[in-house]
Amino acid sequence: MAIQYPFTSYACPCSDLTSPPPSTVNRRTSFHPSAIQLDEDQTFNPHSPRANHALYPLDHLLYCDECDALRCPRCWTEEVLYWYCPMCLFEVPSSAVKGDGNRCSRSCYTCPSCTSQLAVTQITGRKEDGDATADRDTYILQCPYCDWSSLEIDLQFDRPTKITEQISRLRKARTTAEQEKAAPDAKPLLHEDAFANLTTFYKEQLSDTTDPQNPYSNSPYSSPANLARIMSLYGGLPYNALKKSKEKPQPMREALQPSEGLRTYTDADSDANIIQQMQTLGWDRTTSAHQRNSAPTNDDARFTDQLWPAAAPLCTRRGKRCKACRQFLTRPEGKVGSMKYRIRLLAVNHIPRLSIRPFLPQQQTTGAPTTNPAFHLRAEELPTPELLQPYQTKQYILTVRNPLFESVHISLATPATTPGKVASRVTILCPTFTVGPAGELWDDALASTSNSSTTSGDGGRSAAMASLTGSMAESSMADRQPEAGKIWTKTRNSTSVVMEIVPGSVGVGTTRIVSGAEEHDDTGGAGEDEDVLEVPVYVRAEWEVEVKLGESTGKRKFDADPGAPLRKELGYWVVLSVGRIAS
Amino acid sequence: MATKSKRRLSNTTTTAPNLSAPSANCKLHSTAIIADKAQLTGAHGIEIGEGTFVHPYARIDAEFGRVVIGRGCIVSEKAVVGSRVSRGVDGGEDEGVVVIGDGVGIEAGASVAAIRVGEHCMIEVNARVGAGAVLGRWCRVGACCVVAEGEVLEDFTVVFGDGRRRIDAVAKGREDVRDARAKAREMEIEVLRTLVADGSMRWRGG
Repeated sequence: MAIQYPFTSYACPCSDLTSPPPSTVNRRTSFHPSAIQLDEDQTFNPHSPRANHALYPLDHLLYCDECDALRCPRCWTEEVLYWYCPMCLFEVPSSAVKGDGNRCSRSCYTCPSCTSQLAVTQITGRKEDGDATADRDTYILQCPYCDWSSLEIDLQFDRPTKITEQISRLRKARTTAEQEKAAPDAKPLLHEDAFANLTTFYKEQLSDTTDPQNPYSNSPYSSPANLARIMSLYGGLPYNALKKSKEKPQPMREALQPSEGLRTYTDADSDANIIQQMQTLGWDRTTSAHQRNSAPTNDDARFTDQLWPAAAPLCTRRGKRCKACRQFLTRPEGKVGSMKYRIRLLAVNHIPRLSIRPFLPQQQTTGAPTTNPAFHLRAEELPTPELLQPYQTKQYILTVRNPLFESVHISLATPATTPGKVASRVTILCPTFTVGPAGELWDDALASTSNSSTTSGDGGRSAAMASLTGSMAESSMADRQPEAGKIWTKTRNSTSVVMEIVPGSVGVGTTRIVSGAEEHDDTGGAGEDEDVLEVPVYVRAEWEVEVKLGESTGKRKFDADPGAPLRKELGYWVVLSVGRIAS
Repeated sequence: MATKSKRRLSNTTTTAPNLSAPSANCKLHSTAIIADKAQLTGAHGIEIGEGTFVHPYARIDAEFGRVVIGRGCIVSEKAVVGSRVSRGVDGGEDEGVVVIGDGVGIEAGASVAAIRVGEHCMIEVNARVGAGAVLGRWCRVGACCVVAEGEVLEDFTVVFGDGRRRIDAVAKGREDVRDARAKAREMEIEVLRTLVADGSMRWRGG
């Protein structure tokens, strides 16, 4: 889906475009030398080639309330909380994951042909089979999507439970039978056997090289753990390091024989034979790379009739930690299948949100359908994006919405001309104002019904709709003109101001509508997306938090007297992408 | 329906030579269950076989050609059976005709415009079978899969994934598997009979 202008994105402070540049930046060639100035004086350039890595939609960001800063995917670390099987939703302990691998060891299998989940299906035994096995039911794995079934590799189970056990038993029986059939000298080593041989070989090697013999077998220092503890008590190098420094590492040799896990080329299946089979069976019956990688049992499968069902790979549930203070930013509940979070510090709930929409006079909006793209269901219904005409002043309404429970004093700062090759002039008519506190949802409803006569002509539903869709339904607004220094509209927790933008011209890169703007190295015409009008805005929010007695903890104990309000301040760059400029 | 058959008489008698008399327009077997809310439209006539079950809101569309549905079939909700293209394989003789074999399952939202669907085929949810296609026996068109116009699928073909095709060797080789599947269809119809009332009197001319 195409991008719908206008939209806003937020710069994470972890980027060196927004923070004071460390000394290493000077050596990077991609960083423009003239852009290196001191922190807040430096304007965030949305057209910088690295700006894309710093800008995120607000919904993608988290907020660390210990560091009081935005956190983007680059400044949090992920931590696996638990493993679980996506099919049976059973949690797998991490010890089992380390031991048995990252696959479900219960009865969860995926179809080797189409990767959907296999179901255990019963087959009723048939009378004509004869005597003993006559009425016994057998079970197969069946794919409900593509009709693959384990009968295709002639696999039937006696019981509907413990499928993994039965599969491994059947596979072992079949492979050993195959091996016995093959000539003894050209006996191919099976994948599982080779792996088992190789692990035992390497374990032997490791134990041989690391533990020659223990010289202190009789002393109380016999155990390495004891010795290490004593060594660390008296300082000096730890036991292991000391041992390593004394010993010359012995070279480890590699596996040399099949009994040690060496697997070499065998012409058990001659090439000519395979090629002939491929000719007869065709492309559809040869396995794809994805199918071969689906499970270790399918590594050597060349044709689809050699594929075995693949055990379901496990999934992880992860928490996110702040890289700076190691605090959890998000932490899901420790229950499989639960979508709830125990901790979730979303940036949406912690920093004031900016949004921008074109300022439309009253006469244009009456009767017209809503222009907000969020209200359109189909892509074809979306209005075609209007191109901005160069040198034509357009007005926009910039709305700041406050998610905090305190009223926030906002200062907006923007460069007079936008950085980048196309210089547009930007004026915010009222750069400093206050935004009211957020409250419960029903607060808003109560407020709008109680003083509906004062705020707007019709309270409740239509006013809410008007604020949602962006159409100014208030009749009193009909002939109002935006004024400098005055806010445009104000609701309980949002304030709108008017912004004037004069787009620059795309074609002439060197021509600037404001003299004295700093010259960049203009190489040729506009690059990719240089015609997008992007306005960097530095938002500075200040508010006061009531610190109650007994609640002040940690560092806050020192910078605030108990009872006195604590002043908080937050500054961040926001980029308003207004639209494309016509060339 | 009566008004529609009159319209048919006025403009399509020449293009439907296989219809002997207008009264034989709709041949619905007495054991077939057609839900009250099912839609049977079109002037070329519809034939529904023994024990077949047509869900509510299923649409059988004989506007452009005769639709024949065999015995023991299921046509689910919002499925459309019938060709909107008046084009046949040999240029006009059987234009728009759709013949569905015995024991075919057509799942919800699927649209079938094939000339012939072999017996015991399965057309899954929202699958599309283009006009003029020919499906062999025991085929299966997976959910949301598409069989192109005029495509011919041999017996036991499974269409799945991103238009992949494979031959279901198990069903081909084992009769008991085929029997089990056919039996499953019969059992499904048995259950459905107890759930949905027959509303086929509207089309039986009663």
